[in-house]
Amino acid sequence: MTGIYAAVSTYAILSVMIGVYIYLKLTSLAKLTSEFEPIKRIEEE
Amino acid sequence: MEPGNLVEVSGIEVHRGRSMVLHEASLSLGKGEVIALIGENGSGKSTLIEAISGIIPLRSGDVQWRLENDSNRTVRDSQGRRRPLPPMGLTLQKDGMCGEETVIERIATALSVSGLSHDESILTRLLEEWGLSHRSKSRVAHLSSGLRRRLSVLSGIAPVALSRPPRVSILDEPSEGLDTASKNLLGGWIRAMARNGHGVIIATHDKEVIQWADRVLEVCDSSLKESPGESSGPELNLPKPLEMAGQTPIASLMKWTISMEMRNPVDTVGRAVPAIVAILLAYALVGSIDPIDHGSNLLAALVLAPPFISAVTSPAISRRLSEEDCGRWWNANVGPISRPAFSIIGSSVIIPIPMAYFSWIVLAGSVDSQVSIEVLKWLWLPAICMIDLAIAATSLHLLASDLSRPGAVSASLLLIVLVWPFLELTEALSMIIDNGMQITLQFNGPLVTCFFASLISALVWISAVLFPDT
Amino acid sequence: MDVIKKIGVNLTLLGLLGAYFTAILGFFWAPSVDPDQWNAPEAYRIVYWHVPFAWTSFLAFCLLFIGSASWYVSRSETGWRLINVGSELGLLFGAGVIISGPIWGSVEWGVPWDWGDVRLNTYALLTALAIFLVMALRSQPDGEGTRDTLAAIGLFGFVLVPITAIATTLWRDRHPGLVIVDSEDSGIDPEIRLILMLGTISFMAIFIGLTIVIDSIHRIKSEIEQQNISKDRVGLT
Repeated sequence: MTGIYAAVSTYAILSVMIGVYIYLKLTSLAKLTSEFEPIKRIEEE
Repeated sequence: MEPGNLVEVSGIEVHRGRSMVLHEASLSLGKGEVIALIGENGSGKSTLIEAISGIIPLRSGDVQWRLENDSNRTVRDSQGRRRPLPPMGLTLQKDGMCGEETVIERIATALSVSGLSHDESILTRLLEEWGLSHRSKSRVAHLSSGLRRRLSVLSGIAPVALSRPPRVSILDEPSEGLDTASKNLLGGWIRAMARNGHGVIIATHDKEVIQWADRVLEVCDSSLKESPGESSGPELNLPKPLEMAGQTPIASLMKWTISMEMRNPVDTVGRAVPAIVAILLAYALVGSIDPIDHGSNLLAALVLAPPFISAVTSPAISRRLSEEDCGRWWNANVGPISRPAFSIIGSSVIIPIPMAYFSWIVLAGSVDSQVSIEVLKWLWLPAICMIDLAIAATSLHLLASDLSRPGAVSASLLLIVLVWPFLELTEALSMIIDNGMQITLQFNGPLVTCFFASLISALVWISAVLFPDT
Repeated sequence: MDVIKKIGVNLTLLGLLGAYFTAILGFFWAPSVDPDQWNAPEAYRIVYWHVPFAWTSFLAFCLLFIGSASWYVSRSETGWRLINVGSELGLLFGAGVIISGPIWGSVEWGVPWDWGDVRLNTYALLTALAIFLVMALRSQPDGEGTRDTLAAIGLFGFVLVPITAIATTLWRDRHPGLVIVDSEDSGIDPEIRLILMLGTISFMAIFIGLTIVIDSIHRIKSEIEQQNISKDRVGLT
């Protein structure tokens, strides 16, 4: 099982990194969309 | 270009921030003419001043200046071409001066850059007339804001007023911060300069200053609207014109940099201290082991690490140039080669060689004396290549300092590429330690290795100075 | 626009699921390698994410380069958007390469870093460039001057790629055999190839999805900023 800890730790680090990044981006998009869409709708009306 | 015009701006479009500030803006400045640029805050007066001075890029149009031999030169166009300005005078809205400069030095620099020969008596008389002689040896940083402004204005008009051939003086809000007497003196000089055939462009809000103008251009909605001026104001007598000595912007920049550093050696200290700390740390940590036992690579790396640290440290010139738009003033006066000039003049040229020798002496105590003598004979070679590395590092720091908030980014991220020249130099020194110096062009010899290190540094430097200004 | 945003979000999430599934397959389904030929045979499983990270970071750096060149030459707004997207994704995926590479290298070859490895060093350099650009994009006021400077820095970073290639080649010529980085596709098992493909497709989905998401965020922020600029002009009432 030589190298298993290296593999596990790599996947752990990268999973957290990419997971957190995607979470932050999607929540940012959702927040901006919810703030901006009503204003845009009013302007279009 | 029309004969009789000193400057012609044709259909320029300039963007600033996210908006278009000037669109299809044209103006011409004739000999003996004073133009006032007026407009609301943010209308684009300073932008127009900077466009005329060739400091900022144009989206369309071009700016032409008349040279002293009566030919004309396009100093900036929308294709990204830029050429040096003829001698002129420039006062920016921020003073354009570094706090370390002395008053007399400032005037001397302004005159040297524009190619006017002068001596101390001429400078003293000038300063006397402008009420600054008692402060001639004071640093700009120690002056009140009013005196600083007075000095900045004098630096912008003296290179023109004291010239025999017609020149252009560009002044951005010159009266701001001036007292009444200084303002009257300024007005008198400007009208006298016009009488002598010089051209003056003044961006101003000041109603009194507007009255001095022959023409008034209002910057409004990104375009220019012209109206006649009053051409009023007393004409004073200007000092006798000075002899021409040839424009020497690079020599003046070098002299200026050396003066600043001699007065406040923040660059030398800032580079030397971390390097010396590195030597002492290395000595403390490896003092009990014989580094040569671990391979010459380790010793070479330890010896060259301190000069490397001194080479990549952030240069004082980038901080000096960012003070009060000092860099923009130099940029206008030095022209398109300002960036390469700043990077060479502002880098560490005196530290790497002594630091490398000091490093060797401290860390290589246990090395065989024959080897040591050979290394001491040739250590200057990798140390000189370290200077190339220092120039590349300075150019990278200057690249990052172009941003409006350079303190918010880390230029060291761009410096990683300089690890390879360092590794090559370590390799070269290691070869000299192991086999002595070989003056051959062998691929794996120390000479060629040092050459490659310098080549990599040079390529990095070329890329860092070429792209931003094209 | 809404539809595209939804596609972006869904692709990202689907891709992430696929990536995690790839990781699980990599541990529990992928075959073992010959322990006589590998120093750390289990560590090879890092390849199932290392390769997709490398591929997607390469794409991100391409976007960054195209964007920088595009803005630099013609001040194209699309170019600016590519710089925004390329730098963020270059940072994310590039970081993945330079995290996974050294960990694998240190257990398999005994050294976490090889100054003679062109790919590893180029990725490190470009990731550092991406970090710089992301920090600058967040801290600097938007405007033509900032964009010009950052595009120039972006292009400078790419000129460093051939310089790095020369430099690392010179170093490797003098230090051969320090680290041997096997090509990932030399004599691959069909199962390994399948998992690698799944990983690559998943990461491509994440890449495309995040491109859409980041661009949408950038667009919305730009529109908000335009509104604020209009309000600035109204001034005090």
